[in-house]
Amino acid sequence: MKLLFAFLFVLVSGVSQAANDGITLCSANGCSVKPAVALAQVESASTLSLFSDLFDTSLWPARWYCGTWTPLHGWTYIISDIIIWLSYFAIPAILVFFYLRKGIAEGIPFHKIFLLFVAFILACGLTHLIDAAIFWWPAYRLSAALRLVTAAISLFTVFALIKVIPAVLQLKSPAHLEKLVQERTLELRLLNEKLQQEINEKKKKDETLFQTNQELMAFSYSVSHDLRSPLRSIHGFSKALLEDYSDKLDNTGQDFLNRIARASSRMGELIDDLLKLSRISRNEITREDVSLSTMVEEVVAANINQKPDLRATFDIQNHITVSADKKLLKIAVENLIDNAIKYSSKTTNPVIQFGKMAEQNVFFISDNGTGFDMKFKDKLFGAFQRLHEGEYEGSGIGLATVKRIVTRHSGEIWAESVEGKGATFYFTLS
Amino acid sequence: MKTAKILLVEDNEDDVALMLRAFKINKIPNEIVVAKNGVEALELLMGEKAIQPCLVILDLKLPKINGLQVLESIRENAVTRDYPIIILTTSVEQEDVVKSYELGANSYIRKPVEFEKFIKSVEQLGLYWLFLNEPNPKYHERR
Repeated sequence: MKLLFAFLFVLVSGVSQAANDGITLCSANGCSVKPAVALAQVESASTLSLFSDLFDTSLWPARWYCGTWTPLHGWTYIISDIIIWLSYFAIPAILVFFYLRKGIAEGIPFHKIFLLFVAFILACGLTHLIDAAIFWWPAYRLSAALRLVTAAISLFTVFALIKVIPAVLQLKSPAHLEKLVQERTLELRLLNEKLQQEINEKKKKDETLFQTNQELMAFSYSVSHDLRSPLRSIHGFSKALLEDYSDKLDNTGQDFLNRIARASSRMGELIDDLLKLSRISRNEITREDVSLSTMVEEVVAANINQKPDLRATFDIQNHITVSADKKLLKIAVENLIDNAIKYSSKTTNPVIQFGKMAEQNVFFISDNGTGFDMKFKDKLFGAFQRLHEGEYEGSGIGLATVKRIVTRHSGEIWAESVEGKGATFYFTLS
Repeated sequence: MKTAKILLVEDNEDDVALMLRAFKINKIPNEIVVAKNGVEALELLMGEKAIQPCLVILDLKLPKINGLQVLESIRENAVTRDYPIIILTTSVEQEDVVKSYELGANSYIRKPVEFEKFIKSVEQLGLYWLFLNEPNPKYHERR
C-alpha cells in the first residue's frame, strides 16, 4: 500500500513538473493556439495544482484542429472510443446488477476485488469517452486528472489481485467440491450407521435391563413369600414354647426363646422395609398437584393420634403445592416426620418445622433433636445405615426410601445438622 | 349347636399348626378342615363328599393348582360361588391383591410374622366372619 502511494506521488509530481516546464501537449504538432495567450496561461498554470480548473479548455485546441485528421481516421477514433466507453460502462453495470442480485444475499467470494474491477473498468471507460470528446472539447486537464485516477485504481487493482492470488488458488473447483460432498456424505452415512448400531445396542441393553428388572420382581416376590414363612414359624413356635412349656424352662431358656422371637420379628420388619424400597424403585410415578402442606398436616395428625406421649410442637407452612406422585410423596413425608419425631423425642421442647425456602423450590423438614455428625452426611441416605444404633429404633431404611422417592421425582435431598441441636432435611421434587 | 366348618387351604404344615393354635387360643369352636393343595381343596368343595364351609381361608401359593385358580373355580361353580373367601397369604404383591379381588375374594389378609399379631388377626377374622357377619341362609349347614 505504501508503495502504491509512493508511486502515485511520483506520478503527480512528474505531471506537475511537466506543467511547470511549460510543455504543452500539442505544441510540437504546431497547433493553432495563439502563442502569447498560451504562454501567459502556461505561466499561470505553473502555479495551478493538478486538480484545479478541470474544465478549463483555453490552453488547447479541439483535437480535430490538432494535426491533420482525415474524417476516416478521426471518426474511427471517435466511434471506437465511444463503443469502448459504452462497453466499459455496460460491463460494470452488469457486474453491479449481478452483485446486487446475488452478492448481498449469498455472498460472492472476493467481493472487494469484484467491486474494484467495477471501478477500474468504469474509470477506463471514462478515459475513452473523454478522448472522444476532446475532438470538440479539449478538456485535457480533466482528461489528465481522470487518467491519474484510472491509473491509481488500476494499480491498486493489480496489487489487490496479487494479494488475493493465494486465496484464489485455494478456491475449490466444482468437481473438487462434488468430491468433498461425496466424502462428507460417506462420513455422515458411516456416522449414521454407527449411531443406529449404538441405538440397537442400547435397545438390547434396555431389554436386558427389563429382563433383569423382571427377575428382580420375581426375586422380591419370593423374598416376600419364602423368607417370611419360615420366620413366622420361628417366631410362632418360640412363642408357643414359651407359652406351653415355660414351667420346663428356666429364666435363661426363656430369655433365649424371647431373643429368638425378637430377632425373627425384627428380620420380618427388615424384609418388609426392603420390599417397600424395591416397590418404590419399580412402580411408575404419576405426577399430580398435591398440597404438601395438607399432606404434612395429615401425617402429623396421624402421629398425634397414634402416639399419645408425643410432645412435639409442629410449625407447618401453609399453601405449599407440588407436582408429585401422591402415594410416594406420602411415604417420604411419613418417613421424614417420623424421623423428626423420633430424633427429637429426648429433647425438652421438641419443635418440628415444615416449610419452603425463599429462593427456590426447596422444601425442608427440621427438628431440634439429636442431629448427627456432618461427617456422616453421605452415609445418611444409604440402606441399612444407622447413625444412632441402639439409641433409637429403626431399620435404617427410612431415609434410603425417602432418597429413592425424591430421586424418582428427579429431585435432590440433603441434610444439615449441628449435633445435639437438631437436623434439617432439604429436598426438591423436579 | 353344631358349628359350621372352616376350610383352610394351606400347604405349609407349620402355618397349619400355627393357625390351629391361633384358633384354639381364640376359642373358635368351628371345625377346621385342611386342604394341603388346590386339588384337595376343590375336591373337598365340589367332590362327592363335598362340605359346605361357612368360611374358606385360602393361601395363594399352593402346589398343583394355585390359590387364584382355586378362587376362580369356586366362583365359577353354581354351588360354591357365594362362599365367603378370605385370602390369607404372605404376599402383598399388588398384582395378587388386585387379581384376588377381581376374582371375587371377600377379603385379603397378610400373614404377620409376629405370632401375637397373627393371633390378633385370627381373632378379628373369626369375630367378624363367624359372629358379626350374617351368613347366607341358603347354606343350612351353617352355624
